[in-house]
Formats: sequence, C-alpha cells, structure tokens
Amino acid sequence: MLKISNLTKIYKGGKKAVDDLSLHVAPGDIYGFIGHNGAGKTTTLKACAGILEFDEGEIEIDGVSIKKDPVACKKMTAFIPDNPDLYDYLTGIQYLNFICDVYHVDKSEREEKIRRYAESLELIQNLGDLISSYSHGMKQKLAVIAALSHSPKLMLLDEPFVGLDPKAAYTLKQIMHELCDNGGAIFFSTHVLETAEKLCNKIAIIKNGRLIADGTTEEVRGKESLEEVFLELIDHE
Amino acid sequence: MSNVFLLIKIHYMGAFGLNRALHTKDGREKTKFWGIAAAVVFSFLILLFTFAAYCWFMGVGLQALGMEKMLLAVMMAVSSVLCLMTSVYKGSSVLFNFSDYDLVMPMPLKSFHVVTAKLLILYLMNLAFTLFVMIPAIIVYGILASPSPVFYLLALVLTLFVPMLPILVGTAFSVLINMVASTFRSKNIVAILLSLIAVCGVMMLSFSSGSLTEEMMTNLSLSISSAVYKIYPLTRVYTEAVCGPDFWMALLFIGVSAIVFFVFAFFTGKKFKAMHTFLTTTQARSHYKMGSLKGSGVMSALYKREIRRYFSSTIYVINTIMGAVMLTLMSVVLVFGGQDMLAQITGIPGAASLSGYVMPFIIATLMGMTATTPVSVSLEGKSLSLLKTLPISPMQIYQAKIGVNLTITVPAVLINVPILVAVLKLSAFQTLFCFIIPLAFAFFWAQTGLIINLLLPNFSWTNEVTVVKQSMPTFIGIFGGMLLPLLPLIPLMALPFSRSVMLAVIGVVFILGNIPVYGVLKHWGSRTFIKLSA
Repeated sequence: MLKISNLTKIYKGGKKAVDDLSLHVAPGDIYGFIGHNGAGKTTTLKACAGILEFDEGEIEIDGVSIKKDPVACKKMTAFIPDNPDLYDYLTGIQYLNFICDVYHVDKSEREEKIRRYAESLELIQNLGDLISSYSHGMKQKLAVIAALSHSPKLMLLDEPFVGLDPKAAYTLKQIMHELCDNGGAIFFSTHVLETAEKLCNKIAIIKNGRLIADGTTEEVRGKESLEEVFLELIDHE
Repeated sequence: MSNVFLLIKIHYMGAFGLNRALHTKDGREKTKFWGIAAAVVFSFLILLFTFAAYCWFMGVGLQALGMEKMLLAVMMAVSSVLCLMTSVYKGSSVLFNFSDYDLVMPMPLKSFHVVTAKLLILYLMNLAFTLFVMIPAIIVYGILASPSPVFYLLALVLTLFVPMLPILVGTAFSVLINMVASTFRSKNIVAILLSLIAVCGVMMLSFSSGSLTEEMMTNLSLSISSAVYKIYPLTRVYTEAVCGPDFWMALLFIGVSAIVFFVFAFFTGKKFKAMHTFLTTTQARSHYKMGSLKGSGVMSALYKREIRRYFSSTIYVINTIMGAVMLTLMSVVLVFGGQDMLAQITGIPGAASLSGYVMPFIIATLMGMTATTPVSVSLEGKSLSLLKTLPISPMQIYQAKIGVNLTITVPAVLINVPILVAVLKLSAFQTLFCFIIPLAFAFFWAQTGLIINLLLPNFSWTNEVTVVKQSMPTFIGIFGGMLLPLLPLIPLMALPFSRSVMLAVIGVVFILGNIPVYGVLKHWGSRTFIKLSA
C-alpha cells in the first residue's frame, strides 16, 4: 500500500532530516513509527502525504508515485497532522462537507459516514459550531472524522492520540482495526510505546533520520518490552 | 517599560518578513527580499516627491491668501481623518485578535503593558503615514514662511503626537463595534457592516472637508481656518503651537494626547482579559442535529471555503472592499450632485469633459485597490498543509481565490458603470470600454496578486493585521493596483492620436495582458505552491 524507497530529505542549511529510509506498509498493516523528537517522523509522514518535497528516493501509494501523480495518491490517502490547524472560520459540518466535496463523496455515503463516526466519537452535537470554539481534542476528533469520511486506503497519522480523551482514543483504535480489516493500511507516529506495542503489527524505529529497526512487533521487540528495546537502540545505535 | 519595547520588537520582527530575510540561509530569498524592499522604497520616494509637489502648490496658493499656516492645519486634518478611519477597522484586531495571546499572557507582564505595546504598534503604523503627510507640509511651510528654528523643533515634536488621539478614538469605535457585533450569531458580518458604515461616515466627513477647502479657495470672505478647525479642533492647537510659536499650546497638545493615551491604556488594561474573552469567544450551542447534507462540485466547494474565509475577517474585508465602496459612493454622489462633481471628486480639472476617456481608468484603479488575492495565500497560515493534502491542483485553489476577488469587483463594475454612464452621458463606445478596461484589469490584478503573494508568502503571522495591513504583498497589491491603471492616461492624453483609437488599443492591451499572467500562474505558480511550507 505504501512503499518508501531510499527516501532522503535535506532541509536548508544541509540538515539531513531523513536519510535513505525504506519501508513497506502492506494492506492490513497498522505500522507504528517511533523515534525521539526531531528524528524525522513528521518529515517522513509529510513526504508520504505529498505536502513536502523530498530530495532523493521514491514514495508509492498503491503503486502510484507521489512525485508523478500526487493528486491520485492524495485521493487514496488521509493525513492527520499532530496539531490539526483546521479552518477556524467554518463550522464542523461545513468543514466535513467541504472535505467530502473535494473527495467526491456522494451524498448518502457522506451522511452515513459522518453520522457514524461523529456519533462514535461523540462530536455530533458540536458539528454546527464554529471550529474556533473547539478544544484541541475536538479538533482532533473532527480531523479523524474528516479523514474517514472519504474511505481512504491509507491513513497517515502523526501522534493521533494526543489530546483525545480515553474513550475517543479507544474508539479510534477500534476504527483503525476496522479500516485495516477491510484492506486499508495505517502508518502512524507515536511516542506512546505501550499503545504502539498493543496496536501495531509492525513497527519501525527511526533515529537521526535513519531507520534503525523495522519489522513485525514481535521481531522488533524480541523478548523485551518495546520500551526497553527502544531505549537500548536509541542510546547505543 | 522594557517589556513594552520587547513586545513591539517581537511584533516588528514578524512584520514585513524582515527577521526572516535577515536570518535566512537561502541567498535567493535574501536577495528577493532586499530587491523588493528597494523597489518599495523607490516607489515610496516617488509618492513622497509627488505629494511634496502637491503640498508646494497648495502652500503657494494659500500664501497668496496670506494663510500659509493653514497648509499645516489641512494636512494635519487629512492625516488625522485617515488615522481615525483605519483605526476604526483595525484597532480592535490589533488589540485583541492576536493568536499569540496564550503565549504572551502567561508571561509575567502587566495587562497595561500588553495594551500599551499593542496601542504603540497601532500608533507606529499610523505615525509612518502621518510623517509622510506632515513632513512635506512642514518643509513647504518652512520655505514659504521662513519661521524661526523653534518652529522646526516644535513641529517635529508635536507631529509625533498627531496620530495619538485619532487612533484612540478610532480604536474605541472599533472595540465598541466588535462588542456590539459579538452579541450577534453572525458577528463577523455585523462587524463588517458596522465598520463599513463607520468608515464611510469618516470618508464622507473627509469629502466634506475637501469641498470646504475648494469653496474657501474661491471665496475669501469665508474663513478657511474656522472651517478646518471645525472639522478637527486640535488642528488649531497644533498650528498655533508650532507657528506661534506658543509653548503653552504645545504643552496643551502634548498633554491632552499623552493623558488620553495613558488613560485609555490604563482602563483597557484593567479590563483587558474580560474584553478579550468577550470579543474572541465564539458561541457554541452544541445542539446540532444531523440532517440531510448538500454536496457540491470541487470548484464550488473551494469557492465556498474561500468566500467564508474572506467574510470571516473584518479587517480583510474592510481593507480590500474600499475600492468597490468608493466606486459606489462616487456613483451615488454623481447621481445627486451631477457630472460637475467629478472634478471635485477626482481632483482633475475639467474631468467631466474627459470623463469618457478617464472614467475607465478611474474605475480600474478602484478595482485595483479591491485586490483580495495579494494576501490570500499568506492568510492560509498554519492550515496551508491541510490544503496541500487535498487531491486538487494548485490551479484549482488559485481559481477559487480569484473567484472571490471577482465576486467583489465584477458586481461593483456591473452595477456602477450603467449609473455612471447615464449620469455622464457617455457614448456607446466609451461605455463599452468602461466595462472592458476595469473588468480586464480586475482579472489581471487578481492573478498578479496571487503571483505577488507566491513570491512573498508569510505563514508565520500571529495577527491577520500583519498580513493584511503590514506586508509587502499588500503594499504592492494596493498601491500597484491603484497606480498601474492610471499609467495609460499619460499616452492617452499626451500622444497626438485619436483618443478613441488609443482607448481601443489600451483596452485590447488590458485584455491581452491577462494571457501571460495566466501562463505564469499556471506553470510557475503551480510549481511554487508545492514548495511552500507553513
């Protein structure tokens, strides 16, 4: 579903944010992406979402190159950034309708999807209010509903659980499982290692832009906890 | 008070993209910034020179009447009225709508200091304009009246206080308007309407001040001074203080301005947090019931988003809609005052006889002022990345932004041109170009505005005022849009060809000018959008 080959991103001033990174997210995967602050997680996710140009390598979504056909890739993808800066001047429902219009979601499907996810994330009563009145968690929920409203094949999430209340976080995990059971794939960054350990079937660890561990959760963690492996790799690699 | 200066410094580091230009490692960005800064300074100097020449002729005229000191009074009234007018629509925004509120307020700063800093930011914006108007007037008066050196000292010091009272009165109005609007569900629309009414009121006042001056120039029996002093009584205090020289009057002027400033800042500081909460809190009713949804096409969705964004910002609307409002006011004034009013409005003697040739360019210049696009990309701010994730081409985004600009300009032209044509009794040929030239230029400038903004984007703003009022794209967008359509008047009036033929040629040039700009936007603009990062 998502194939990253030899991705390199160099920022102005020569800083290599991502260095020759390759990984493959298959349909059905919930792929956790962990690393310390500034390791290159967000840069990688943004490059996959088609919002950041990269210097070397290739990113393909369902076999389509993000460089050659970014619009086709974006149609299959939903990206939720760590701090969703949504359009404060729209109401929640206006924002969702806007996203559905842009992704060509038909009327009955959008109503069904929005109602379903807004109810499960307990946001339906607030959809008539301006986004500027939302808390961080409510914005995060709205971004999740918007992302799911167009049935993406691939979800790219940057710290998706930050700001969500425990119930919403649980609901999101259920939704993530459901999407992957239906052939979709999820690639997400997180600092919460317990969540990654329980939720993901595959994990990648990044340090200073380079992938230092990658594989199934069992392979990466071995007989230790993910936290122990992570700390060991980060300190000694 | 050092905290006040720190806050002001931080603000101005963000304004104009100056700090980024100073610290960027990208040589091309640095060169681009300084190149454009040089062009802006050059344009500014030309404007200053033109204005100084205007002051000179006015001063000579007044000297013939033995009233050269009224030059200072008139210019002070002009700058004060404009400071008042602009503060009516941006005062509340500068004071309360800054997105770093959550960053600034937890700092160990007194609210009084925060308010003082914000008021001084507003003051400095207006001071620049005041100096632009007053310094040529002071120099011209100095040459004509040969006053003592004390005049220059007093004039310099007192001029620094000229914008204070107008901005405080304007800001008080602005806050009041926004407080009233906050009680409505559609508070932005109410705020826009009330601000427009207030700004138009001030404009009509300044217009009446202009007509008084015209009348006074031809009627010596009428007292110029009493008329100008009636418009703004502090002009009397100012002129008597500097031209006297009268130190008591000088102290009175400085004292009144400083005390009112201090009292305003003190009491606003006392209630700052409560006022901020009242003005910025959005009503949340939390009672939405899911019903039937209406879908639309991609372009329609993008356009609706853009138009909602436009009307969500009072300062954005007021700053960009004034050209269309002025065109409408001009139509109304001409309907009631007849075609002779045209010379008075435009300041061009005999304008009515040339109106068929001049009017297309006057309308075009007003449409140039109505450019929403030069800041529309920057106003995406931090949500730019959201737009970039959508499966749409940059050109679709641009078309939606141009659509918003045309939503303001096209109806303004289509409604006002028939009225103007009827009042001015223009021929069918002239009427045609009254439509073609403004519409072609409106489309051209909407596209050019986007190119300007793509060249000079700013996504790190904390207050919309920084982008809408204090950025280079807005300066180029408004002044470029005003001046460019007037340039063809030079060959039209100076060259020995048929004016009708010249008008037709210029009209065709205006239409064809859109083609290369569209090409640049489509190719270079699309590539540039992908590279933008918030």
